[in-house]
Amino acid sequence: MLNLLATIASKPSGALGLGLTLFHLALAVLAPWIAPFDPTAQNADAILLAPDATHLMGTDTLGRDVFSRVVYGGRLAIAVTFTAAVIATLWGGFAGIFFGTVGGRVDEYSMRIVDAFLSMPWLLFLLLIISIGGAGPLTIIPTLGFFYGVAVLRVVRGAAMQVAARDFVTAAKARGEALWPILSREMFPNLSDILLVEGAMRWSWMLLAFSSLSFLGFGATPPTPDWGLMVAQERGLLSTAPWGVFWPCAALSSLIIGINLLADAVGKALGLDRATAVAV
Amino acid sequence: MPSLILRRFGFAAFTIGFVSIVMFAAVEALPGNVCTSFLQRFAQGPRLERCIEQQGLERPALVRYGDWVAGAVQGDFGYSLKKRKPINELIRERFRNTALLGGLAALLAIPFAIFFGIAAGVRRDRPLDLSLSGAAMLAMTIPEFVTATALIYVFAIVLQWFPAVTIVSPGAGFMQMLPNIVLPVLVLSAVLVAHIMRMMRASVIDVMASDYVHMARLKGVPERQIIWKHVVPNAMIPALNVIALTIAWLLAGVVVVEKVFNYPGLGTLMIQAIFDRDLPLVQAIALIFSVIYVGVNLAADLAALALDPRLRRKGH
Amino acid sequence: MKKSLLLSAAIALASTAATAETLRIPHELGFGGSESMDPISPQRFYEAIQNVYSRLVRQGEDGRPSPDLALEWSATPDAKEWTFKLRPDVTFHNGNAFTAEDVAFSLMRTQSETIDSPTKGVMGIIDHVEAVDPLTVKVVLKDSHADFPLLTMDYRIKMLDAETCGGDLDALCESGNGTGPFELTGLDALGTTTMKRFENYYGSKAGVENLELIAIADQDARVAALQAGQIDLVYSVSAEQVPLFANNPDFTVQSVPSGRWVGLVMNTQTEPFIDPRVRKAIRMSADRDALGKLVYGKGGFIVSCDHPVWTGDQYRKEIDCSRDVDGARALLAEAGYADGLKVELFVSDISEGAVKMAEVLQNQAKDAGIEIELVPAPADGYWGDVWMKEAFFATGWSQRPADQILNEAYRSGAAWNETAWNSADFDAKLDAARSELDFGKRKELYGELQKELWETGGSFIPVHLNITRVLSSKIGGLPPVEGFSIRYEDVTKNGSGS
Repeated sequence: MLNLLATIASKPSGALGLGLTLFHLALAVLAPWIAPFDPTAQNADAILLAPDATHLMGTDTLGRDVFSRVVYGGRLAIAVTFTAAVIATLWGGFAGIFFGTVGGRVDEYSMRIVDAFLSMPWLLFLLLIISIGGAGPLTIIPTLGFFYGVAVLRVVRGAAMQVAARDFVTAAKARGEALWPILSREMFPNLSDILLVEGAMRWSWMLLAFSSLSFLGFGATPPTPDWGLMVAQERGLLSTAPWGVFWPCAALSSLIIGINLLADAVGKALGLDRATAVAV
Repeated sequence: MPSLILRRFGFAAFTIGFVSIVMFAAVEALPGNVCTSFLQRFAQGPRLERCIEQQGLERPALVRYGDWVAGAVQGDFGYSLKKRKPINELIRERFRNTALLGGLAALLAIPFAIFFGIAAGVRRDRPLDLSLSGAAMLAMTIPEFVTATALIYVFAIVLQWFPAVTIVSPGAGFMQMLPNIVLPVLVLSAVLVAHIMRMMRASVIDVMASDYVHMARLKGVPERQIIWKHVVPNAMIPALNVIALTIAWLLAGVVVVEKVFNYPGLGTLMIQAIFDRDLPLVQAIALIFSVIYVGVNLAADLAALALDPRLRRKGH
Repeated sequence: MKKSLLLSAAIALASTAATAETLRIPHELGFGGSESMDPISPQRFYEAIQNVYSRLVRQGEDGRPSPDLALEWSATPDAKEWTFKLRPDVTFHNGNAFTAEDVAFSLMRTQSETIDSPTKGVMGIIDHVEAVDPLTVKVVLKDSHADFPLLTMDYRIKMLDAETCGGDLDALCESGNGTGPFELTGLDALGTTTMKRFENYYGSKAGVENLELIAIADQDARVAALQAGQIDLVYSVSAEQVPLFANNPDFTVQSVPSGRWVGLVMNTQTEPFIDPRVRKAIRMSADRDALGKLVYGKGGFIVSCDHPVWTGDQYRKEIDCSRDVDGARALLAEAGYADGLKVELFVSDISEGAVKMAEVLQNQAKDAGIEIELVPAPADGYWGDVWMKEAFFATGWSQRPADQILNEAYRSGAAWNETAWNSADFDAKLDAARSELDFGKRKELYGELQKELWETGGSFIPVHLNITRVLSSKIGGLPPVEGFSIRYEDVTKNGSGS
């Protein structure tokens, strides 16, 4: 593990990715100790102040401290998307390894269904579910987790087929070993790397998706500080108070870029060529 | 060869059928129904009964699904609860507007993206590649609504070249739509270009490392010829499917872009329908989008078949 | 006299100079496309009916009654019979002459049960209307009403052509055939509605040749469209949007004190708001001055105490409604919500500051143990789909005289009674106030009604607004007056650009 980190950090892009990701995670965890103000505290005498020593990133239309809101603004998005990414990686990874190992008819027919799911607009499906179940993390997490899991499944299954063709697996199969031991002892250890990288990539794109949901009014709701929602609320004032749009956007983009670079670097360090992975 | 094409069409039809089942089943499986989610706290007594009767909810799910599909196949999506209008009437113009937006964005994005992807892939890790890839990374990570806001500020408010919001009458002709559509198309294309370019670049790099390119170099074929004769056509084939998939998934951005520009398209209608909890309308639009997505994928499949003789042979 | 002559000469000059100009005004698409050209329809297309129809009496620049289709009016001493002298030689857009019969028709149809107009409650005071001669009308009231001309000033009490409408009192009349300064050329509520100058208008001919009403539902989008030069004015912008236009030579910013308000409405017949203590507690939790500053900026508002009568109205009652968090908590505990209360509030970007007001109240009410969950709704169609349909929602009203607004929004069964306020006692007091001929006593009665709304009503009306209007500087002839006092026929536009 330490070796891996050292390899990643040895390249500038890897170091940047690692740094940005850790930085954002630290901000989210330590937000209550870092933010100088209550992120929801309104102040009628401090509306739309330009950045200065007290308000490092200025204030918004309700006199709230933008810096404090940016610091807090990743918490919900990170929590929701990270949980969804874990779900996606777990189910997509397991199913992918399973189908890749089993192969044959089961695999072939399942892939038809997987392809059908892949050609389904997940955002619209999510909106469909929201229109019945209402917005909120309980609707968003499982839906994001499921649809991104389908994409993970496709990639992992491809990799699993290659592993399954290797000698030690065919040998195990020939020995008549049961499926489960093969999956857990032979397949999984050889695919955990790709799972890690895939999960990280999906996570970064989910962050972007979640910000779009907040913008549309289906993600975070006021007064929760959330980057997407902050941009949505302040974007009309781009010319007079750009700090209200710039900082949350910079925070969101830097986290996504960070995770991307990190995933790339991890992939390279583990010897995976993930240049062709789809960003969806 | 014809059987192969037929199989692709068959799969597309299967996918659409499957999507419609999933959508229908999801609505069935979730608590409540079309009427309770629409009426909310008024969902009781005669009002609920009337709605249930109107929607024919007392019939078994299979019958209703059959009716829905039969209607949709004939191009009749039923009746909107909130708007009290046939859904067809509501979506006709808006479908055209959204198709225009998405179509133009794809037309603009794909050539640029392929060109940039080749340029970056051929000059891997050199300044050109680094700056193109960097720009793509930025374009991919900045949300569409931020790009749109910035473009509106620069091109509509400061320079006043294009309108900031879409103002067109229903029934407006293409020429009236054109100035309104420039900025939304740019926003959508930026993201598309970034994604497709990355894919193309990776594909080019793959092919550049292959044996036959190596052979060609050894034989002394000029680099320019290698790139255009060998690398580009071969890199296109694997990229095509991925491109189609990306376009399909990214067209979700249409919803966001339409909202920012007040664009009278299916996306804005869908958001409205969701707020109204108008399920029949939501289902109709979601199904239409799915059909478009499947269509794009099918087109890519067929294009790949046309490009690659080996794929055709495999089918036999 | 001399001054006004000069003024009209200037206006005449300006109108000849600006012959082929088009004035472009946004509208909010509040009924999602089902906007109606009938002025008394619940879904009246406000911006359009303002320009194609005229009233008997209209607001002067000071908001007081001034002649329009009626040149003068007088009442019997008991204020029960009102006689209006009509303007001669007025024609409708289709060429029909305007007569006393049209007045009788237009006034009586407001009472139709079938149409169920929001004006029904207020105009229900009319017993019958007599056409004395073609240019004289006598309105006989059921009860005395000293301020009856104020009621005829309502922006919906427009004069329609009885013939065009087929004389049917119970049918909507959406022809658009009026006597106003502009005639309708194309109705398209979802897109652009077009009008052209009416050449036979009885007043000074319109200063612009064409008028376009453009549907833009979203407030941010309207402001962006104004910035981009796609429209010529925005009726009202929020405090933080003012700097976008201030010190910019392309725009003029006008600030007008007004009776307009944006508020939050609790349905008094629905849980948990059926308990008056809950309503009062929510109201007491608000710090109105801080709220006003946050939402409308310093000097952008005047504090009000949840009744609709503004400071410029002669019947306004001043009440103390300062914040009382402990009082609110105590009331909640009494009502059985000692552990706090959780409610959903439906908001939309319908009127300037509505969403922000909800966010501020959410923050302030938190201190009293009230948790408000905001439910966003789309702006287009808001008035048809959300307003008066949910239990707790945002609203917005333009300025109205005390008697009119109290009758229109709080009389039992009135079409726009948004709080579902149902009190026989309140209705009786309303009747008493209208028919009281002594001003002092009348004022006292109206005051009691306002006090009652603060104590038990369902409205949250924290402030009345100073309207901040932004115009393109190409626009002339639009003085800083309240919205109802604007005369669009006087508006001019210069410059060769579109």
